[in-house]
Amino acid sequence: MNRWGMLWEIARWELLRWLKIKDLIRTLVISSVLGLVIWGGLALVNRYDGGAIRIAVLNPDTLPFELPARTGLEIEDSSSSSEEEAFQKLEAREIDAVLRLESADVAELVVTREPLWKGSLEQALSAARRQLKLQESGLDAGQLADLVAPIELETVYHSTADPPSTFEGKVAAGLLVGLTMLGVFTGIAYQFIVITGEKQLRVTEQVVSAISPQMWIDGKILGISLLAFCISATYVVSGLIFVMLSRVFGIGVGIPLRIGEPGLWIGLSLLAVGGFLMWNTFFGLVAATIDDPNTSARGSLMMLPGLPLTLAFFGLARPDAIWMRVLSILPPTSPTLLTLRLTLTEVPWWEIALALVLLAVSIWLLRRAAGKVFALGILMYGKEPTWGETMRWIRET
Amino acid sequence: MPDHILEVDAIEKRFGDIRAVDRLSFAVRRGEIFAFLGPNGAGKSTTVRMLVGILRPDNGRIGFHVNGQAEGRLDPSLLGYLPEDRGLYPEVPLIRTLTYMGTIRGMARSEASRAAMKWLERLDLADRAQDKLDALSKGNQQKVQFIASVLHRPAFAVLDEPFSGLDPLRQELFLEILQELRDDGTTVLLSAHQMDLVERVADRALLLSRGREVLSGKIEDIKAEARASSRIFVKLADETAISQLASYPTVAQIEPQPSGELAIELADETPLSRFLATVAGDHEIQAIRSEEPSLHEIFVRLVRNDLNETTDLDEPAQGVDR
Repeated sequence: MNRWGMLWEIARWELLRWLKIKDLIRTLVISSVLGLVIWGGLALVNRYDGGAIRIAVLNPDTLPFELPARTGLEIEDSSSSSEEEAFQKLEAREIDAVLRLESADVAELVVTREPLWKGSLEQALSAARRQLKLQESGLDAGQLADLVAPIELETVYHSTADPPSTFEGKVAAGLLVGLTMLGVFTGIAYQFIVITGEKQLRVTEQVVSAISPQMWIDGKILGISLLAFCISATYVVSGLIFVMLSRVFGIGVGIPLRIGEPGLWIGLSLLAVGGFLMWNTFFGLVAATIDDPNTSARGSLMMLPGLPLTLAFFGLARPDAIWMRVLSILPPTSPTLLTLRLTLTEVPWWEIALALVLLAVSIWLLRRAAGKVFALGILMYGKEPTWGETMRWIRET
Repeated sequence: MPDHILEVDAIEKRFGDIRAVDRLSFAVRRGEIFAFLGPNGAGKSTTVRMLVGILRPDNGRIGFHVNGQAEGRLDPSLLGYLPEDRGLYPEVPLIRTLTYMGTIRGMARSEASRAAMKWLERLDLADRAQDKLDALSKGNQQKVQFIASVLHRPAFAVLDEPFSGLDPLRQELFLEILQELRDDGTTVLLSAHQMDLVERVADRALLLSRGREVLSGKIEDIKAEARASSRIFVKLADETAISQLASYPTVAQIEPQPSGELAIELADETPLSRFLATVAGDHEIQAIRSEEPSLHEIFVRLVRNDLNETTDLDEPAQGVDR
């Protein structure tokens, strides 16, 4: 068996040892069921609950107004009923409010609970009042139309082809970065379990007599990174199922990502795999120096990948800031920050290429160091080497 | 092609101030079972780790002769290793673990899986192939561990304490399997403490103490040599004759036994007939018998003699090559 064949056998072993297909399928089923229950339930509530806020208007001729359908407000036809009947309906919760129009300038809204929709009603009334005042000013229809016509304001973006990030875009970028980090943390947790577990199970001597420590750690890094990718991809697919189900029921949660662009997804996938490889390599090195994960203080290093996540949070507001551009090229922050920028803004191709090359180089150098530390650390029981000793191993072996 | 599959030439290994292996030289012949014996801390496991490439000797040379080539380290597909400090993956079905162990020794996955099933059948574990390791008894786990080290039919197998944790029935089974391996062409280096088992299966042995060779050779030669200085058991009518016998120049050591016999070790090169003639002249001999020393007794005697020279023989339990 050649070197690549052996590497794949080890990676496959690590992947299949920990990949629980049933759990992944369960995740997909749960997200589908949740989507059906939540979005289907909302659709049903909207259909049978009547949905709209119903308002009885007293003295409607004082200020004629219309409520746009998007507001969800409806005017109750109270032309044939008295004020007393209107309040009886309010008490009986048949309607939601009684609006008494005293004049074009003063109105009273009577409700039984806080009107969260008050702003929409105010807007509609203000528009009607403005219209009335203009008519009273004696202008003809043409002058009136000209007076209320809005200015034509065209928006042209300088230096970026895409519009700046929307709120939905930021949420989507945050979710993608979050899922990537979930994969990173999952990967390094497994890496710790795998390496320290094998030391404690005393598997190491038998394996090291068959394959070189470098080959072993390479296979582990690859296998655990594939595992992290499978888990993250499952969560992405499950999120997409959830969102798509919302559209089936006509609720329509927005997907601001440029889903049709395969280039974007290839870039995001490369960054995700690169990030998993980089962090898994680093933590493979750390885990090899740990004797007992329950007592070692080195477990706290697992918080390190949280640093790019914090920077990503600050970068949401200004993804093209100079510090974001620099850190999205340099490892170890590039996998997280470039993922964020790719979903929020247009990134020049050379920045993407440079970031991927630097990421690949850093993974290569890290894996060499990890191999050296792993070779000595996995056969060392009862004592953790100091960081000084670890650095000496890397330099001297 | 040389007769030896392995030649070890004056290897040394130190851990700090402790000399774990001290200029040790030996050779293992192709197709034999070579017993590697010694008390705890004698340097056996350190030597074994150097042979399988986990540690590097500080000095000296290790050479393997396989397929007409001399190598400092044996190709993993030709080497089988059962470490003293061992374990496998408890949460994985046996057949998957064994298949993986075969593939990292260079077998194709399908070939490794077939070989694993054959071995599981041979060791009465075929119906447990899909069970996880931690569902097995300790003895059966030991069988699986053993299979993992020899399933690829290595040219040279290093088995460190293969009998530990086994009941007598399983020990017998392992003896059979060791002989089968040898008959199939695998050379076995066997490190064990169960001298009665070693003496039944090994062709040659090397006794190690404090990292150095104390004795080596064919098992029958070792025993024949020991027989020359074997003890005889004499029962005399006069049970108080011990002090007189102790003064004989032909007697090296004398020790009364609970049975009333006297266990007597003769001085070097003393003919038994001369000793008996002297005793018969002075006392009435009621009974006499001799006893061939077991490997265990030879081991204990030689190691005791060696340890009497010094008490400093501690070897670190674990170590790494720095």
